[in-house]
Amino acid sequence: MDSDIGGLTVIFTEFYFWVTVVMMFLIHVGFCMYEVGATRPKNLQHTLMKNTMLIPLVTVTFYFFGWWLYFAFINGPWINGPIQEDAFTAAAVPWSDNMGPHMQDRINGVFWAAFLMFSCTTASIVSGAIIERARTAGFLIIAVFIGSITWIIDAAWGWSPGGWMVQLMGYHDAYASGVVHGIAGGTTLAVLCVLGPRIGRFAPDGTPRTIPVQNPWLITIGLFLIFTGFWGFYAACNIPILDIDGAEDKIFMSATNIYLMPTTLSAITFNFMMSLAGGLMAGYMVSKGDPFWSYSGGLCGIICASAGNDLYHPIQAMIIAMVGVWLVYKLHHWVERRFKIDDAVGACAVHGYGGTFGVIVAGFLLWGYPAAAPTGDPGMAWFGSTPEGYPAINPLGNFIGAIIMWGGLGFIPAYILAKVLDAFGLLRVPREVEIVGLDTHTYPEPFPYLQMRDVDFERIQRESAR
Amino acid sequence: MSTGLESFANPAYIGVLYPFAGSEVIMLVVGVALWVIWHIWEIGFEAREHDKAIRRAREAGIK
Repeated sequence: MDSDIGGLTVIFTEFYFWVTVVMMFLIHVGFCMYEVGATRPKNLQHTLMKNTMLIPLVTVTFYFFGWWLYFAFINGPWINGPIQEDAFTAAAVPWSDNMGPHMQDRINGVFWAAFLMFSCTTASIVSGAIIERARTAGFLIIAVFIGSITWIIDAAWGWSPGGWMVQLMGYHDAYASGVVHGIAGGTTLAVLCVLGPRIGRFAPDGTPRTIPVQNPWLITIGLFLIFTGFWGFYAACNIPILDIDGAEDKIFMSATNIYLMPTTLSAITFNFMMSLAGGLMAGYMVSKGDPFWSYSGGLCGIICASAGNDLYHPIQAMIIAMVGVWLVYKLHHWVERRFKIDDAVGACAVHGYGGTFGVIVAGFLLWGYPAAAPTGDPGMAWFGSTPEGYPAINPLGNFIGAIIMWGGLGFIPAYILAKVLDAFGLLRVPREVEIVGLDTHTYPEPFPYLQMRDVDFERIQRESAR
Repeated sequence: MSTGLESFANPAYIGVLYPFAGSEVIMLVVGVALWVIWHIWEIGFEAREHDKAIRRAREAGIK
């Protein structure tokens, strides 16, 4: 802070990211409300604590090693260079002076926390899909795995100006369609494949049964809070104030995206609202007014357009959202029937399919735009460069990138981990516990069976279990 | 006796603010150990609770 403008920039950036952290925390509040609202009374406390406890565990592990991975693994390593060693990496190791209160570093803590909120979001996406039969122990290991290892590696690769996917493939995913949502959706589907559906969720002929939710209004408020927190999510994906001109004799301050390429808060505000609107309209239309899918459509609409929402025209964002939501809705129900996937909150669809779709579309619509300033020799990108030698955004780079996010770092490693957890009996609760309710042992009062209460689906579930 | 700073004069020359600066590696080892121990405890705790739940279910005649 050796000048007035330098000092103001640092203090503004510190406060800006702090605000995004507070706003993004609302996403977690929303996820908790959503999950609890979708859970039957006998499983309420289990669902709540399973999601809540991912916050401390992802936090401490993101402090211990997640933050370092983001800076150290931008080259792969060994795809575009060795493990990165620079000032940022040195500041992110957990024994660094910068990983605590430090008068000369006002940014590391707030930047770490903003990324931590993304970490918690990835883990929370998995949490909702597996309610009412997953063990907390196994889930929390999965949460650490995606929240502090796999997602932050994909962020290093594809969500950093120096990431090898950005530099070599021209990968562009400004608001994390694939980087957060694609990987979380892939991870969720992998865990669901190993975990299996709730007992009775599918009839013997394979027809899906609807499991009654205990509080649709809690789900509604939860999704509204996720929308609200998403504003912070978008703002946190920007670097707030930077001289993007670069000439020595003049400055031009603006926001940039995570790749340090120009955008504005106004631009992403346009596109956030228009993609939300498009998603809500399409969700309402395709589900014929179903509240769950209308709200989920809004969320999915944003996710579908997020990869390019730094640069799209608002009407483009709206159309992408509408097309994406229609496809995602159809794909969700096809996968559910075909593979008997019991995704309690539609996470595989809204986040996984929507995010992957969004990354692929951005590759076409933003074809030829500069992805980031080259960190090596100009013109080295595999799939084309701009006339100035910057790696160019292109369909192939984003298509391969989408596969890496959803499958390479999402589905495959999570499937292996889920299999290991299942082999040790850590993934799924015993069937008796699932039947009687996951809260029975510690919270007997709300447990319906012991109070001689029953609902239609409980009878079906017990019959199916026999 | 001081665990860290004794003056906030000349803030431009102050670096770390926390006490016991220099013991970061020890704190990290303790922190990682607590994290691992917590997981181990939680796995055992949950297994015991499930055993209890199964007993209650059988007592209630639910199989």
